[in-house]
Amino acid sequence: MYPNPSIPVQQVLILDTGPLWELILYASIRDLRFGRLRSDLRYLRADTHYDAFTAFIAKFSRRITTPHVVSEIGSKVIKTRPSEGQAPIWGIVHEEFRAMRMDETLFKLLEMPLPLVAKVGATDASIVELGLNYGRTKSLVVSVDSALIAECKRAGLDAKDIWEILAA
Amino acid sequence: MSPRAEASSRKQSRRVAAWIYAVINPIIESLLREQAFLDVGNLTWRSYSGRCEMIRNIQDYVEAFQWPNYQTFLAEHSKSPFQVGFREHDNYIKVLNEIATEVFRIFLGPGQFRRAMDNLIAIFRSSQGDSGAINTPPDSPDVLWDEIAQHVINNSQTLPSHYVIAKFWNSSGRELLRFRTTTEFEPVLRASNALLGHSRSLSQSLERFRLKLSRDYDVPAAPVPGLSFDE
Repeated sequence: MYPNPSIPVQQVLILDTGPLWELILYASIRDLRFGRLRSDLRYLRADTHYDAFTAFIAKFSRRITTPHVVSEIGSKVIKTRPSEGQAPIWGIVHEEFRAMRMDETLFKLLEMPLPLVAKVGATDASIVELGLNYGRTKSLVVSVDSALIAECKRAGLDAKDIWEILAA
Repeated sequence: MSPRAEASSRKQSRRVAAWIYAVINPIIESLLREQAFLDVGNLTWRSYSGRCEMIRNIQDYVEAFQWPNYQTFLAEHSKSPFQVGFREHDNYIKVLNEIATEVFRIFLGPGQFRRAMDNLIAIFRSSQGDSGAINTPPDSPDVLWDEIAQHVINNSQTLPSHYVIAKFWNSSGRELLRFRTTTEFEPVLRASNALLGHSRSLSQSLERFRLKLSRDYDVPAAPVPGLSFDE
C-alpha cells in the first residue's frame, strides 16, 4: 500500500479498546508489579513487541479515540479485580492517555447511523464514524477486533490489526 | 480449647479473615509497590496534581467498599503500633509531596535548571529540523516544561516511544537528571528515603502481624478456593 510500510501516510491514529488495553496491561505489569495480569496480554508479550508497537504509535502526530472506548476500558479495569482496588490501574490509564496526548471525540448515539450501531455496536460504530470524520486517507484505525477492521475497510477506511504492526 | 472457646474462635476467625484479605494484604502489597517505586527514585509525583499519584495514604490502599473492615481493624487494634504507623506513613507522604512541589517550583523559576532545560530544548529542536516538535501543537510551553521537570523529580530514565516527549527526553534527559545531585534536590531525597524506611518497617510489621493472626485464628494468609469460614 505504501512505498515503505513502516512510514504511515496518515496523520491521525485511531485506537480501539484492544490496543489501548494492551498498553495499559503492559504498563500495569511493569509499573504496578501486577504480574498476574501477564496472562491477559495477547500481543505485547515481549519487550520487543511493546517497543515495536509504541514506535509505530510515535509516528503519528495525533492519537485519538472515543469515550465509548474509554467506557470499555472501564469495564476491563473492573474485571481485573485487584485487591487494592481499581485506583492504581486507573492511574495507569490516566498516565498513558496524558503522556501520549490521547484525544477523545464524542459521537452521540443518535448521531450515529442506526444500521451501523445495530450491526457492530455503539463502540465500534463510534470508531468507524471517527475515521470517516477525519477523512478516508488521513486516518488509520488500529484494533484487535477483526469484525471492526472489516467494517472499517467496507467503509473505505484504512485499518490494521495490531499483529500486522508487530509483524512488519 | 473448650467447645465454647472453639466456637468463639471460629466466629472471630471470619472477622480476622476479612482483616487479612481486605485490609492487611492490600496494604502490604501496596507498601511493597511503593517501596519498588522509591527504590529507583520514582516518586510518581505529578505536576498537574502536585502529589505522588501511585504512593498514597494507607486508607487509599484499601478498596473503598472495604473501609468498614479497615475501620474495625483500627478500632480493634487501637493500642497497636499500626494506628501511629499509618499516621506517620501518611505524614511522610504529605511532607514528600510538599517538598517535591517546592523543588518543582524552584526548577521552573529563573535559575540553572530552567536555563539548562531551555538550552537543551533549543539544541534538540535545531537538530531535528522540521520534525523537531517535542510536543503536540495544542500544548503550551508550560506543559512541556512541567513534564520535563516532573521526569527529573521522578528519576525517569527512558520513556516509551509513544510518549510525546520521549524523543527529547531519551536523548537529553540524562543531562537534566544531574540536577538530582544539587543541594536544591537534597530535601526530596531525604524525604523519599525517610518514607522508604518507614514503609519497609511498616510492611514488615504487618507481615509479622498477619502471621500471628493466621496462627492464632487458623486463617490462611490468602484466600483458598473452596475453603470457607461459614461452617
